[in-house]
Amino acid sequence: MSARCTGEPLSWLALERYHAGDAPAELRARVEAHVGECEACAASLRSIVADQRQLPALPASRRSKVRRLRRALGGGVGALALAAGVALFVARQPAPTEPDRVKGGDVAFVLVGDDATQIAEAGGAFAEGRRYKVLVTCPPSMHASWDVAVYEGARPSPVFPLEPTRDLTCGNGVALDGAFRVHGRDALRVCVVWREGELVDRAALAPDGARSVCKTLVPADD
Amino acid sequence: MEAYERWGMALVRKAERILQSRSDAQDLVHGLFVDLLEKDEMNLELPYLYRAVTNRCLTLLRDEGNRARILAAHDPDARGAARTTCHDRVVDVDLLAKLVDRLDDEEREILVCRFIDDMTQDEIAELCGLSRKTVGKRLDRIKDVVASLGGAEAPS
Ligand SMILES: [Zn+2]
Repeated sequence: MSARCTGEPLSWLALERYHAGDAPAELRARVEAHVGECEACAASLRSIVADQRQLPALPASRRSKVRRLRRALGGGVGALALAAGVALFVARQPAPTEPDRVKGGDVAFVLVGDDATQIAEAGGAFAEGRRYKVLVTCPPSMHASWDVAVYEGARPSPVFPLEPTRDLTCGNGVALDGAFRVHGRDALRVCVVWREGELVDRAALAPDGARSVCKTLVPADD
Repeated sequence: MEAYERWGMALVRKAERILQSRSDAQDLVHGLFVDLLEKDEMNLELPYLYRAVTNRCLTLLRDEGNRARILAAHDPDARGAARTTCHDRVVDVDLLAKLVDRLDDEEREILVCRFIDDMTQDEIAELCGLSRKTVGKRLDRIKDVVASLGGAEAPS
């Protein structure tokens, strides 16, 4: 177990502000005095300093552009076109990257483009017109039907660019049937949805509902 | 967006402590900023963003499906060091999941502020725009609810 705080702990908010150089003088002095004698809070501050992760990029588009694209995407299934065929580019699929690997009963996915580029993280950039396959990582013991739903902004109805996959042998980076092409230029929310022991019912999917994992993706800069 | 670069990771760390899921935390914070960008929201100070992340995390956990998914896959290490406890219990995502439907909006937020963000009552009062007395009362009620759940090892 970690050390106990010697008094009233410094809040994470205070530690984050201190770390970012955003703390007023009084708070700065309080943080410095406290971490000088409290190992628990000093360790918490060190954990912030040691966190070198990078965030995914935000959509490059500004508001007006987002709205314009939203209108352009608004008409039916226009944003995504079904790509025919299954084995379009299986030969060049690399293994899923390490950061997206999951623990326990979790499910994760990556998109792999027909140029072998991967989108593994939320906020990853997709290329307009490129064809993507969905690779799922799921526990080998899992038996489920799978579907891919794509939400464009606040639009309530998902687009289903792929046929559902009825039975998948789970493992690390297993491809769902089919591939889809992205034509839009607005941020997308791509969700992999599963149902164990039954077929996915497309009529009964709620955005961000149960048994789904989603990523918000942004268009790549030209 | 400057606030995203400045505060994004602080908010991801915060969401991770609540949800104990690194991918959900990152996606939640990213989604928040995408929405802020579209709304042209300019109030992007850390305290405001902190509250927004708390509320989004709680909304996620109140959804049964997401709650089950997060509980099934949560990463104990993502909780971070617990420096405050409620009746000697660490408020982690398991306990939070049991509490979300037993508390009201204000109590839920104060629960997170006090036992996950480790804020003092004064800090909570300032952040939430409440009197310190109100915060104290809400904390008493939260502690009662936690006590009513029994100990961590007690059969349910
Ligand atoms: Zn301390």
